[in-house]
Amino acid sequence: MTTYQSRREMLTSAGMGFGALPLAAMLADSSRADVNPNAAKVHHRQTKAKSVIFLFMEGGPSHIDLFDPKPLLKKLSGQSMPESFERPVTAMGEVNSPLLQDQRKWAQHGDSGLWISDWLPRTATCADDLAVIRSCWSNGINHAGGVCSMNTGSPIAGRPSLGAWVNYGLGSENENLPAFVVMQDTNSQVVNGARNWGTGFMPAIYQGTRFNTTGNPISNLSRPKNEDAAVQQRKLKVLDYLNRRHAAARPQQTELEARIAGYELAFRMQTSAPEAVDLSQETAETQTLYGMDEKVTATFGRQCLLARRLVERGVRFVQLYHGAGSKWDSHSAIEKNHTSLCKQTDQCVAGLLKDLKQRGLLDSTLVVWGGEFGRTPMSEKGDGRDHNPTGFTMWMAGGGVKGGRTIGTTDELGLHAVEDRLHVHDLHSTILWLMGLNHREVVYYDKGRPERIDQNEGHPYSGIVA
Amino acid sequence: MLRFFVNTFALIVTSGSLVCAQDSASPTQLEFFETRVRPLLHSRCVKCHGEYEQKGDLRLDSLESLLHGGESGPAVVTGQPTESLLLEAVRYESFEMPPDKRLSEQEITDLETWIRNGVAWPKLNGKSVRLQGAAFTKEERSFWSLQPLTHPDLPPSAGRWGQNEIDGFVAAKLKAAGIEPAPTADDDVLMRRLYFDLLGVPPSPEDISEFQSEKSDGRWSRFVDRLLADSRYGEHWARQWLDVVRYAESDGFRADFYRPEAWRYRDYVVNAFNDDKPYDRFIIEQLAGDEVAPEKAEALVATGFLRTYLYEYNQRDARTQWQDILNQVTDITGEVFLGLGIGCARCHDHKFDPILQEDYYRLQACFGTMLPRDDIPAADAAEHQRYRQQYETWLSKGVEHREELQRIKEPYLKKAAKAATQKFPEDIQVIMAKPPADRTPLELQLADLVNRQILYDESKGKTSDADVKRIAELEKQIMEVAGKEPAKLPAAITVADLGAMPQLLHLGADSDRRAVAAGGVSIINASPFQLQPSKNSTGQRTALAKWIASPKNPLTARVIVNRIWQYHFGSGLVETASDFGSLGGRPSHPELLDWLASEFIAHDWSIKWLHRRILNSSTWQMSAFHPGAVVAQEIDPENRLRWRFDIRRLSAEQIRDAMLTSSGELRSEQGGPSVEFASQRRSLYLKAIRNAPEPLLRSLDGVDGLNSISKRSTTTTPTQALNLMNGDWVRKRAAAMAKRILDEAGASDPTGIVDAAFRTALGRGAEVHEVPVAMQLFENAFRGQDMSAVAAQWFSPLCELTGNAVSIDSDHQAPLATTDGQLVVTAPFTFVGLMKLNSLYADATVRTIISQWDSNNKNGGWSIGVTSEKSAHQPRNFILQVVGDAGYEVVASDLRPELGKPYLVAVTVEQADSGKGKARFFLQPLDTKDGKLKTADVEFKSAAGVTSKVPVMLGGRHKQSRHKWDGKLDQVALFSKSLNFDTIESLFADQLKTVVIAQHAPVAAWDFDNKENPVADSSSHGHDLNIQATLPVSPLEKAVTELCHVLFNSNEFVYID
Repeated sequence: MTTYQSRREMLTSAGMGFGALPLAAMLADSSRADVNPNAAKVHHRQTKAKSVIFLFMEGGPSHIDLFDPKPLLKKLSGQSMPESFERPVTAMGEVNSPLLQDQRKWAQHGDSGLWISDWLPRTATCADDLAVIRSCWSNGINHAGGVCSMNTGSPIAGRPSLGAWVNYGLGSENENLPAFVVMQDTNSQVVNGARNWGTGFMPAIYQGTRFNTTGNPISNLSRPKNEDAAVQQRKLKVLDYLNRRHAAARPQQTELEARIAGYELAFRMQTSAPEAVDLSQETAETQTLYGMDEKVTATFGRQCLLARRLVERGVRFVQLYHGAGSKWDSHSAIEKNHTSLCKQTDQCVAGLLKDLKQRGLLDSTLVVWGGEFGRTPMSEKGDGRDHNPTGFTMWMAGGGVKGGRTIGTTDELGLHAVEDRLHVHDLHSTILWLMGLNHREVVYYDKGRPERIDQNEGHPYSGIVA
Repeated sequence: MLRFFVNTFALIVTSGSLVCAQDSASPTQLEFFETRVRPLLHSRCVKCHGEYEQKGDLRLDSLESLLHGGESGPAVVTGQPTESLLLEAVRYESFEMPPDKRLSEQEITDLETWIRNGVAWPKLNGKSVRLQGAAFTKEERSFWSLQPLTHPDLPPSAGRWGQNEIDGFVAAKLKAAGIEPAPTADDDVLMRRLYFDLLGVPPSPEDISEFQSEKSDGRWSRFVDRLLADSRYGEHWARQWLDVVRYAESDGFRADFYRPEAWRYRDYVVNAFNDDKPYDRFIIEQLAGDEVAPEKAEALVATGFLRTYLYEYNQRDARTQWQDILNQVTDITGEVFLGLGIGCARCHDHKFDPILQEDYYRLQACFGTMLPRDDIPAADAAEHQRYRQQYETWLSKGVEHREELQRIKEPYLKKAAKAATQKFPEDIQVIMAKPPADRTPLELQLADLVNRQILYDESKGKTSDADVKRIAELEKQIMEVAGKEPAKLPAAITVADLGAMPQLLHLGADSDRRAVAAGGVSIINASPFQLQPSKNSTGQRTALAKWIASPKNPLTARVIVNRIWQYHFGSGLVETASDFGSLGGRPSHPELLDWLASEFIAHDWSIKWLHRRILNSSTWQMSAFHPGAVVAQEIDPENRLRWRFDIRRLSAEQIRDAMLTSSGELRSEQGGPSVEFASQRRSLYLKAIRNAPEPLLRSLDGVDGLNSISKRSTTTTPTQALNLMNGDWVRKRAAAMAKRILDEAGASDPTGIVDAAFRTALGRGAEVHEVPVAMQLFENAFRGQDMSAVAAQWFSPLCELTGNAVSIDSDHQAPLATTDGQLVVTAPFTFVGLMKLNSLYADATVRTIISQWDSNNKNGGWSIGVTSEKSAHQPRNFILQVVGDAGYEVVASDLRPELGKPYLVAVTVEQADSGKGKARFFLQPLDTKDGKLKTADVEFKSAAGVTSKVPVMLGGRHKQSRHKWDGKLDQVALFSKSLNFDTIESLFADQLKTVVIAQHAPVAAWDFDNKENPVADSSSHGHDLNIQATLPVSPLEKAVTELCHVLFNSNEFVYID
């Protein structure tokens, strides 16, 4: 028997163990890893980070206007980029358009003196918690490829997402909630849609579940309006009777038990999921901290607060899309675009960091902020910037990350990452590493290939903790 | 894109600790090797001692070669730095290596440490990473799947069990293991298994009883033949093939554009299965249909296989994009036909299988001159010829108009082309500036990618109003002289070669590296293909296809036979159907696999032959239940020896199709463009959109068309349970099935109903113990809510003054419709009625009173209603919506009825002398004596063309689940004229008594007071409302629905024995 087989065997048997247990036992201890179908598949070392909150600013926020000041840009503004800078392939072809200086006021913040622009005054108050990685780079020059890369490591669809790999490697700590939850600020489709939190060649069980942020968190979660509770109970009773007799006669097919348990879990979720998203349990003070009292920040504030509630309840990976449908994309009028989007998020993100911290959750929660790429120093359409995957900024906080510093650099115009370059594969490896997983050991076999998140190209940047 | 050149050696195997037992190397030692030693060897040594050069006959790119050494003996001796030649050399003690520059002291120390600590080198599965290069080892050459096919002798009879050769092979192995085969399964189980297996849908209860009642010899093989001749067979088996080729109908990138013609390939596959197209031909057509039979539409469509790749419509990095396309095509070809995951070899020789990087590019070179084409008609040559003649005749008329048209359009096209081209990098712009004749094949391929974007931009370009007008005039004039343009032939999504000259591809797609010519996998066939070019084509793909589809190729027949076996049994003889390499599984019955594969070839690569063999075997007909299971399970826990049949879950499509079959709704038409999920056609025909897979199917492990799937996974998630239990679609199927059961079984006998439901859903009657359990759902059903009492809820007065009104509840009650197309209401017209509205939508959806419109802003029609919370016209605005010749308009009265109150309402719609439309609204509260009549006159752009043939709907819109009324409606009448103010006032003054129907001759009226038929047209024009959809569901029907719903959710429904 090959390892492929035994590995798959292991996966199935994880499902069986769960199914075989009676409901009462599961209720008694909902966090027992050994009864969970989403139990950890890979041995992992003990680390601080237990959960990830990934704040995805979709469309590509401008690093050179937010975290990576470039005095030279001011000096050369209006000129074409000097010949000494290598020309990348750009999405819109304005590679020789005049350089566009930023309009920002820059200041150093916190004890650490981290540079953050005046677009993010609240985030700036958390400067000492942020490890700002200025030297990120990626492959996709367009949104589809960029978002796909940031989520899966490849610009082309078909590979599992980061959340799916984490879910595969670590499993969930709360079986009554999905291990991987995704939320969006609006109902606009995130570029590429649901495959951003899909599983590629892995089984669907590891995929992210989209939560609605108001009303019913999961579609089809609650019973239809025209079916009353007593009827549903009766139906489940009949179903259970039929399924148990059917399964008892077929002990060889353990999936049958797992499926019975799946129904039980589904109906426990009918209580646990609405509870998890019930913000009436939060004080007004907390809600204000996240900006929920202001119209402009209410939406994303709500999402950030939900994210905290979910990680509190053991959800492993929460991904929040802000600007769903490439709203951060600013090919023209970047001033207007970023002023508005920064305003929508700044208070909420800072609120999240502060709240996690005051509750002692920041150590066990890795917060990641960034988009699929940054933006070019060259102008586009006069007052905008094109996509820049060759050098951009992301930051991480919490989860053991040492804050209050920058990692890596871009060139003098912020076009290419130059020092301590961290490719998306490196970022993914680093995130797994912070979660206690060796990215090389999180292997899934597909068509004869031992597949890893980084396509064997990534290296964790362990310096992020020291 | 990929960074493999930076760290080629750190690629696949860096740590094998998860999957193998390392000999002795610790993770730390391996880490040391990977970070300190491997990069050193790679950067400083292997240039001269590696794949391409072996100076001194020495290679330093694998542990074996280091230990083996070269002309001067072993390079390293494990644990003995002082004995190791390598160290001597780098210390410049004997040889002086590397000759250009000495290693640093640190580097030398690292090598020393590594040797002293035991030369840790990663292994996987106890198998060390294979040597680079084409020096295949004996072991590799004797790998099972690469051996020539054999035709093994049948094993000596192992007893009386068995019906054909398959059973002989299976019995021999079982005997050796000391296990008896399971008995044959029961008739009803076999029928159900056979139907799902061959057709993908369950048998009807009649099919089962027909089989059970037939006792003659050969009934089984007759049924098998009958099902193989059923065209539903092709629909089911095509789906499995489509999984493997990762068929989808959209681009799979941001825009994820739909590919409206993609279905032709799907139909090609369905027909290929139904026609039992020989598999070798099937391969050749998909890889090279355009070369081998360019005159046949079918063959052109078959190459749609090469066009299933993902495509990004605005990717400016054309070079990378083209390389990605080639990679996708190469990978999928290897996986589908050869069962080899060759993707590894794209960047380096395969680490575990004897597949060289060169092989990858030999295969890729076969596609090196291919150009994607969307302009070749999916038509046979004769038809194409006929069309061309018609088209040229048409083109020859109105020449001067055409020339002018061309002159007007040209600048726009040029501008769009220029703008689109400028977005590409400079080197691509240089290519575009060349005349096409001067471009190399690669440049033509890149230019094609650019041209696709130009075409797209052209289609989005804006034309000045004056030119739009002139173009329309010219087109009209051309039409007058030349007649209508002959209808275009449908286009195939296909490919064609760029010419007869092959284009060499560079290893690693890097132009600095060696170029290779088209060829196969060199361990099977080392020499490049002999090509037979034609005028327009290199013949490279034909050569590849023929190499694959050759009886001599050791993989092809084994791979397909194993796939077919897997679909019949749930798992293959080789469990990894798309991996016949060293990390894949080994065949459980190698002789059987070879026997089947060689016989399959001998039977003209007939897949139906293979089905017959398998289905007529006792092995396939075994029961899932085995009397000695406990013992057998200990010997062979995974049933690899086939001692019983494996219980399997149905696929997502089978489950959906089975629900539609049980509900009696499944539509039988086959082929053609794909349809939306709500359709009641087979799941095969649902639109396959990569970025938006249908949630219900996805939750049942349906595929998304992104990866080649050789075997679906079976997962159990809460999402799946929630979709099946609470999802609307499944519930509707249950409701339809309940209706069907009640129609067929009658309503009087509860036991009979339960039995019929089981029979319909599960293919068996209810057992005695199941009946009372199921009957728990019927608790209320027979205990008598009176139907007339229920009906009374739906027809009751709107207020004290009126007779019965109809209740329309936005959640449960469908709108009421007239029969299609019989009543056409067009301006001028008048609507009058009584209404009471209970609630608004939370968004901008309209509460519709009456309409003749499908909510499509492009289709003519009208609708009268009240706006909701988020309306741009503010909530509770009494409005008219029209689509006339001036397009879509909202005509708002700004009269605002309150919720929960009864009103008289009326609207007249007419065309004013100005040609503009004019609407007059009337609103009068009914509940107060002094309720004041309010009116509003509103003009709008156009009343002409406000016409539609969809049914007139009360309380909703045609084919819309939204925009529904919530409340009551009564005394509704439509007049085919604009009633004047006085008349309407008089109608109103008359306090509704029969709404003066007699005097003003409405074209239709409904007062809901007719006891026999409350929805009859009281104007006697016969426009009765459709009551079928609106009658409340009886408690019994509801109960039966619940039972059907439970059955759809049951394990027995989704698993077959």
